[in-house]
Amino acid sequence: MAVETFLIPIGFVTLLGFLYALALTISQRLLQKTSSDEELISHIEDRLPQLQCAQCGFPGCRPYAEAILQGASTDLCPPGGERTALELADLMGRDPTVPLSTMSTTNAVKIIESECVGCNRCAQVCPVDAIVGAELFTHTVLKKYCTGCELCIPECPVDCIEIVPESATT
Amino acid sequence: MKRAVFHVAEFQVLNWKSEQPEILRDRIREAGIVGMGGAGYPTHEKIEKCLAYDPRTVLVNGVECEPGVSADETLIINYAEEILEGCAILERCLGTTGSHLAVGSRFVFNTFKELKKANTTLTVVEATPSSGEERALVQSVLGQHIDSDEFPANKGILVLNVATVFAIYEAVCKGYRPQDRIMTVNCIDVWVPLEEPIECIVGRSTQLTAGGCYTGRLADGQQLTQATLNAIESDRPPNPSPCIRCGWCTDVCPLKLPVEAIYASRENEDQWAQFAVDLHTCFECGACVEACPSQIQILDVIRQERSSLTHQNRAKEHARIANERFAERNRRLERLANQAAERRASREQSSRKW
Repeated sequence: MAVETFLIPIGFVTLLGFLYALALTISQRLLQKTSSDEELISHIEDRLPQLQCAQCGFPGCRPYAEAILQGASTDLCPPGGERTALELADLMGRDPTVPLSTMSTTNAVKIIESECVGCNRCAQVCPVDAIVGAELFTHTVLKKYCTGCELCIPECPVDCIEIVPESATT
Repeated sequence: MKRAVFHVAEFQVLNWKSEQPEILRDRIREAGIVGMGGAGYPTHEKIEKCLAYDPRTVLVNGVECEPGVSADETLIINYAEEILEGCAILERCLGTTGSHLAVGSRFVFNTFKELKKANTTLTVVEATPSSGEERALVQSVLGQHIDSDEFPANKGILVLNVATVFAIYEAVCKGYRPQDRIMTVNCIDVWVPLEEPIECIVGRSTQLTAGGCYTGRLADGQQLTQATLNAIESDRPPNPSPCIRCGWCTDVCPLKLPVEAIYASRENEDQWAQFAVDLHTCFECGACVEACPSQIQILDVIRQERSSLTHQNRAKEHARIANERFAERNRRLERLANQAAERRASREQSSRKW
């Protein structure tokens, strides 16, 4: 019996194994990178309170989620408070730290319409387009969409925006 | 229904259709069966009294007239066939054919109607506070007047409570001695073991009532449960005991919700998610609270968790909408910036052209 009888199948199967391994490695590299990053970002986002208040120093919750993935600290979210910070630290496998300040996530704001001068500045900063109104006309807040981020309050030149605790309005 | 006691056949099982009536009567005496309607009169003596008279009749009393007590009704609904068989055993004991069954409600009547045998007469008696009394019942069902110094048994009428009939059935056909009975414990009908301190059944409480709201009297926690006792009422102690996972709350739930599992996992958020639907199905009847031997206010826990769950869901939905609107705004700003850049570029191009 010739040696080739053994060598040819063994060689063939080995080659096949290498080819499959190569294919799997490549596909894993290609697919995993994008999908796991996306997944992780959406996991982080799920844990954020979605106020879009930008107090973390990033323009919104999704940018912050992306920044966390790049190495930003997990304790920058005041609305999320201790709970969110701990959850994020747990998710990312970092040391648990808690934010220095916290804020309520259930508030909304209200424009005192008799005092509104129609400058439109608040509508421009609202991250969720919850303020409607044209320039030089009275503006109002769509309570349904307001997240209570309070970004509009410092913008108002006549201080006609006030905070409404949600428990009092619903 | 879950029985309170594990029964062991103490006597030989009798085939009542072929046994002699004397043997059946001996069995009733040996098993120590007493009237479970309230008086506790030994049943075999009652039967012997009846035997002295002819013609003899069996009248089974399923009329419950105390408000808030439904032990007999529950027994009938759950064990109708057994009770009818018990009637037949009694007929054989007395050597008669035909028995009367008096029930207090149309609902119970319909339970029997399906199973009814030809020689059992079924009567619906209006449940007034006195209609379940022996003489009143004989008067309304058989139209026979019994003087107040006489007993129906002396006239050949054997009046027995349904619970007694059920006990007779079990003694004859299963060989059991009566060890438990259905009682209305704080408005819930459960099997309760006999000869147990009441405290062991409803937990320690400051005020206990043994019996329904008419016939009941204040009881001591150490008092034992009797075969004649059909209801226990207790006020709740301020401090509930820990959950012992007995599962009574799950048993009594009319919607068959896993109350016990819900309560046990109340602090575990991962497990709560699977009970979300159950929580919203609950219509807060309070049966679980009444059944709980540890006096835990399960309903309060359910209400609280349900509201927090609703709140969470609302917050989640709000967050989702906010996220979408934020993304939408970013797209719009980007589009506007792009348009502005394009305009600027085209302006520069055109200015260069000129």
